[in-house]
Amino acid sequence: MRVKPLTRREILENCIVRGLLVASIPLSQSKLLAFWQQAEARPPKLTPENEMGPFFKKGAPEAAMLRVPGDAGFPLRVSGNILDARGEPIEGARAEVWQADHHGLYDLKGYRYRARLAPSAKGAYAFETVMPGHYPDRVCQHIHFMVTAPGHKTLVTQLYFATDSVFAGDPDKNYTRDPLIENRELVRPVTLVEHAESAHADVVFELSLQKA
Amino acid sequence: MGKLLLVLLAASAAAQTLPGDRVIHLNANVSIVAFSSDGKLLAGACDDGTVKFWDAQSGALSRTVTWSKGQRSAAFSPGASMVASAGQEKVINLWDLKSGELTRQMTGNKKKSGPLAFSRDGKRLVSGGFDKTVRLWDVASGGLQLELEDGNGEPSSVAFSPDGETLVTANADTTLRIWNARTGQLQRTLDELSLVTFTMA
Repeated sequence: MRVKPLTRREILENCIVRGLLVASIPLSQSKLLAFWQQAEARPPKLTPENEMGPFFKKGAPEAAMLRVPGDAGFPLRVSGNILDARGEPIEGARAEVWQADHHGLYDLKGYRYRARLAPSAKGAYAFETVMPGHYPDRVCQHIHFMVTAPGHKTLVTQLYFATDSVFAGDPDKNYTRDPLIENRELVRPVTLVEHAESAHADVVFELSLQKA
Repeated sequence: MGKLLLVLLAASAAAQTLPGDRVIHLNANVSIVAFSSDGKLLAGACDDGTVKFWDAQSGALSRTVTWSKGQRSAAFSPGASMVASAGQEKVINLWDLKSGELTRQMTGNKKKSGPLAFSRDGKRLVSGGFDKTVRLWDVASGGLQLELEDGNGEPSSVAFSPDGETLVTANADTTLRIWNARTGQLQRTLDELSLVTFTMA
């Protein structure tokens, strides 16, 4: 499918207009995130499954910082909770993440941008990375997740970004431009967080698992 | 994928029917190739919704059979008389390559199918589904014979043993499973790989 390329400015403007991207100062970040959560406070739902894809690699090291100084790409922080179907945190959950680097390439030789996360006892997780690039054979930017927890079915899914240029600022309408995105809920809003001398993107992705 | 595909016939068993190593240039986007039973024709499933046949000696295009667009995976029967294919829909299509007609559609998948493979006698077909299930089909009737629950991810590759008694499946979670192809009993799970296996035969 041919998608008309938009300029970076057009995408940002579109996203801000549609509320997909919120520029903020550090003080109001928690407030904004609270608004998001408030707006999304519906009965908890299971996180939809999504394809595992061909690039999972066993044996990723435990890490919460996936980027190293000097890496190309916009800094990104992803966080959330590993929950059961009622929205209660699951103890003893484990999660693995893998993604392409800024240039859209997966590391097959080593373990760059691959990590085993160490969720807290209450199932909270967070990791620091860069916004993944567009992998040539896929339409959208994405991060892969595999989540396991005692007594629950393993969840294999992918996280997508509302700011992805493929959605042209309107993921509600355009999320099917990537034939692998079967569920709109996997496209998450992106918050832009500004610091004094830098900025990063912030995404909250809740992982709700089905009972085994 | 480029506009031009080089079929490199170097060390493959099929190349034994050809005089030495050769490179054939096919002016098409081909996703999968197979030889006819006499080795004289090369068949390719193309992205433009056709199956093309080339003379394996000269590389000249000899015949084009139009099938369905958007077929993501395909497998030729032994001898390339039939091709099975799957796209975004939940069905598996079976095409007769002599008549060019769609002869059968296999239904029963909960999601779309990925990898496909025929048994060597051409009587059975195995498919790996995105619902994490491997299915065995009777080619003549289109009937579902077995449903096997695979690993955590989608099956990435499926193959019969030459005698048709054993089935091997590779999963995106990097595990390999060996099954009894008659009873569906899981015989072994191999967990030693670190990356996904794409093709097996």
